[in-house]
Amino acid sequence: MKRLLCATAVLATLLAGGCGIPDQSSVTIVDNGPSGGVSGGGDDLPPVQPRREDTDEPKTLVGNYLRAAAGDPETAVARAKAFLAPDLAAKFPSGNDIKVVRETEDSLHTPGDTDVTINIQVIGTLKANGVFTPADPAGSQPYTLRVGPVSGRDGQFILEAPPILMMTDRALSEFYTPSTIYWWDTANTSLVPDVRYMPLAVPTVQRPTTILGWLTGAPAPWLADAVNSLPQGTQLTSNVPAISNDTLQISLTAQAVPQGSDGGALDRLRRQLQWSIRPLVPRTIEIKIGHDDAVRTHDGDYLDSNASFRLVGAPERFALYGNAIRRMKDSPHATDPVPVLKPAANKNITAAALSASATRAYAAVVTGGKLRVAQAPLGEQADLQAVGGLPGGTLGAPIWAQTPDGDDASAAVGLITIGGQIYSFDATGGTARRVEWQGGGLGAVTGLSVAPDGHRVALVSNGRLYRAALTTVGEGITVGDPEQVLPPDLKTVAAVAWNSESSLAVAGMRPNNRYAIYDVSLDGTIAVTRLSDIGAAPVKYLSAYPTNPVNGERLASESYVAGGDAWDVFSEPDKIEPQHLADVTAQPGINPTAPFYLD
Amino acid sequence: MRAPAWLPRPARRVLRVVRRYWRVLARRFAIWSSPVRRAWRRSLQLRVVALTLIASSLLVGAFGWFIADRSAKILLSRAQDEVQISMRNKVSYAEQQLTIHPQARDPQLPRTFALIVNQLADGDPSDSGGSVVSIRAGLFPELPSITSPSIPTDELITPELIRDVAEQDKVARQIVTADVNDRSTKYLVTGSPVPTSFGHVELYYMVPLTTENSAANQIRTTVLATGIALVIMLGVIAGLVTRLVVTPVRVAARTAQRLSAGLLDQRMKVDGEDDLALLAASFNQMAANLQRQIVRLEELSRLQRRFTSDVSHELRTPLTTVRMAADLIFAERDEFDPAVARSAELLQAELDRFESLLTDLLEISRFDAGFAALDAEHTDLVPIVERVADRLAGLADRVSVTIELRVPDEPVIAEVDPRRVERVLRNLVGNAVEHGEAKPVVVTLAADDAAVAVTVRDHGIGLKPGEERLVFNRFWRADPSRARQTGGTGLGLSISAEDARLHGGWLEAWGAPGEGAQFRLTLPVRSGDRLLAAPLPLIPRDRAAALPAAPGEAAEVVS
Repeated sequence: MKRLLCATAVLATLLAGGCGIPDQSSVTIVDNGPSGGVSGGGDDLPPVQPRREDTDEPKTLVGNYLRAAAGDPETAVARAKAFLAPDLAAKFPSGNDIKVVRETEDSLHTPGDTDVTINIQVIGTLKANGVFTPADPAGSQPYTLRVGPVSGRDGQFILEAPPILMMTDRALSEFYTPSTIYWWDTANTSLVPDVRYMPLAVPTVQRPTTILGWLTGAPAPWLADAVNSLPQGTQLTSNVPAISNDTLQISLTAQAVPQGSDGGALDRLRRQLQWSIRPLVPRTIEIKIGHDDAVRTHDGDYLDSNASFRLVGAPERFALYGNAIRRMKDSPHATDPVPVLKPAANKNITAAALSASATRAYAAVVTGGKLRVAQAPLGEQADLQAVGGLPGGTLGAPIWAQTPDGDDASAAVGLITIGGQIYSFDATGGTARRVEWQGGGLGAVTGLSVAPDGHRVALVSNGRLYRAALTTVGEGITVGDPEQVLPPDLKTVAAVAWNSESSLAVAGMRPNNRYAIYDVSLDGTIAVTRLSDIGAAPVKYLSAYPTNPVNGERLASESYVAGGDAWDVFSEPDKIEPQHLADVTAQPGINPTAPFYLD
Repeated sequence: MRAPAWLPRPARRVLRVVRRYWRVLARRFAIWSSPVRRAWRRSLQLRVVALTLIASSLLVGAFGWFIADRSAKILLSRAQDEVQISMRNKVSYAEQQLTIHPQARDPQLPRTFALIVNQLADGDPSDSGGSVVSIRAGLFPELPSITSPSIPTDELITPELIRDVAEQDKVARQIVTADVNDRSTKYLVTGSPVPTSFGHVELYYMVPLTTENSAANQIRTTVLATGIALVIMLGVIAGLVTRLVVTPVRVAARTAQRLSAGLLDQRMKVDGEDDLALLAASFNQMAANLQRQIVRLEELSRLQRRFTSDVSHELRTPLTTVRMAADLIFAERDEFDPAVARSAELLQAELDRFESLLTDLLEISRFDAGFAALDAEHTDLVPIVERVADRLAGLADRVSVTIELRVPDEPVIAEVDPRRVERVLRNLVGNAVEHGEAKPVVVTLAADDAAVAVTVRDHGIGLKPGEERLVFNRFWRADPSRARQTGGTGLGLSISAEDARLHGGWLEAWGAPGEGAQFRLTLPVRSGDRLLAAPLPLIPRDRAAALPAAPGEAAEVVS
């Protein structure tokens, strides 16, 4: 009886409290933790960031201070402030824009003194999004920085300094790597490069995320009118993970491909992304838009979206000899006839430009003070048509800016300077139009070169170098507000030509009044000397065949005309002789001139 | 039970106290529960209902517990499976997102943490909502713990879980109840390490078990309510069924009680044709048979008594005539031939015997017919005892027996019928003298407030076990072959017992073989009082002191 009662009580307790979901349980091991994971990059160690504690020597300290801001933009101010005495740091402006300065002279310091004098010229501003904006030209200015101890703290501080977050152009090349991102032009036909500066402190695996961050932001201001930014509200929803299984996964907000956009929008986005993350070349791209399923593209084509990709390794070269276009012997197809032009028309030419699309070839020549154009399918010839509507004046060398694929001859755009003004023409021989400036404009334009994408121009005016965007507005073409580019070490600029999608070949006079040829980055910060001294004779003409961005670090083929002779730019100038030309009998007193490329 | 001796004294003392209290408690419980136990013993219905309730409670309870437990487990395991799958996706997402951080000191890492938890918490498909995602780096104390939505997780993520996940590198889960947003909620917390380039961080996913918990509670409540209803129903059914059976049985019991009390015409009601109806019919048949038998026996007995009485009366008249003739012959015996004279003496003696037998038979007949009446008056018993001893002194001398009287000095007054008391004592003392074997007979008289008692002790052959009941039977003899010396009728002790009963007193016998016998007459001091105790022991004092509780001793009470 008693047992029965006990059992009932136990059972009732069990029934009331024993079942149901417990309030608290012990820890249950379910599984072993996931193993492996993608081994992190960690391959390339970022450059060591200088610190105040590294030295007590005033000159070195100032040198370190001028490099301190370089690196991760978010902590740039903090890094710079760490060099400053507390009261000076308190007054230091916030904001992540870094002034990039060029030291026009080495810093001056008398041993034992506390003051260090620097002579600097502001060449531009580096924003947090990697955009470098060239500054309005200004002369070099001396600043004096005082170095000394701060009570209660170890080491030396900078006690007096201009309240500017700045770094030298050397720090820019030391702590950053140029990284080109791309935007679709306003007609969505071609990608336009936009050079940004990637801090080397960003690990390789984070660079796609950073690049995507730039792409979801705004294009560089000078390109803003010429390109389409991504739709408003496009954001990364998560980081871009490291590439695994040769797959790059990107997640964007739903706004990236808005409702009602055309079917090619996602494909264009993919091409833009793939070009922008180069040199990373994953075989598969997975793009997830909003909550849609991810779209995978395996081995998708994208390279042809960039006009620069069409550039060949060995271009067809031409030169004028005796006012006729001649092929050069060492270039491909040296034995073929000159494209487009009928042999009978190949005379009295003072300047010429040839261009080819996938299907057609275009020619623009200046003969007897007139501009004539012709176009024909590849391998055929056509008669030259005079371009109407041109004012009188000195005609510069014509350039084909845009030669799109297709048979519409009127879609091709050429540019020419006449009397310091820029005019555009097409391949049908229609009326030329004057290209308007969007901003204030420049004086007489003496040199003109169009980037391979056809949307950016480099200009020489008044001995200065400018860059600007070409914008197609309706039927006409306008040039955006030009920004002056300050190549180092050049007093005046004589001629310019694009030698890659993001750099220029610049010929100009150095402070010693001798001419030189540099390869200069598009913003003028980085310059590579091609020829440091080509004499005192002014360079009248410069042409270059841009390198294909896919081919990497290859020097562009460049040639110039100075003192009446044409020269190739090799490791030293190499004169173009008549025997370098095909089908030419050398005539005394006549030299080849105006070498150019079929672009 | 005593405490073992090897225990130290204080322990034994304590044990003793405990034992005492235990006994007190047990006794109190016994007193308190006695009505219940009595009801339990007496009521078949209570027992059946209680046992049914207990057995069905056990069965239904076990079954209900099993159902509720199983369903809770199923609910929980479903939730766990869902969380497991979701967790796998979350971990792989977090792992992907963390691939871009080669070093733990990457200043962007906290931002990625925040991005991961926000993304995982926002995109959580859990329909119940309220799930929490937290990322921690147990191995890198300098890294922050980030939770989305931002709530304190100290209660949710226990140190044991952190140890298993962060240090042992295991995927582990735990159910935790915590106060979140001022509400106590059950959470299923799952933690998993997320491998990164610099070691691993831990992702915790906390899903509220609100839905599962309320479902489990509903199931439990339903099962409990159903179970209780079922048990109550079974109890009621058992009660009803038992009542169907028990009620006729109770009726049968009551009828049997009445029957045994003499109401021979009581019968059960026969209703229907079932087993109980059969029982009632059989019972009724049995009662009818019994009644018939009893009536017949009573009739026989009455006839027998009537016969005895009639015969006695009818014999009296011729006996008187024969007596007168015999007296005449006896008076003239000296004139007869000696042989005839001897016959006359024999005739006289046998006629005396015949007459006394007839007197006793008539007395017994009176008792049987219920005509005996008590003529009680306040009487001193001492003279009666002395008179009896005197009357029997002659007989005693003949058999060399001395009668020893032990009477109080003062009178012993009781409300008795002196004629009957004297007859009883004459009978007892006469028997004692007759069976005294030439040893003294002791007659003792004693009294207290309520009763008087007379014992008659002899030291003859005594009584065999069982004979102390038989001595009061009519015509019983201890040894039928023994020659009668006193010519007793065999009815003396029967009449004495009837006399004692008429007084409301007791007549008891004790005897043991070879030790003699003792008879005790106990009478109430006031007529009609109920006797509770006797002033003298039935078993003689000499015997009780010498040999207490010897085998073969016997005592019988006749009242």
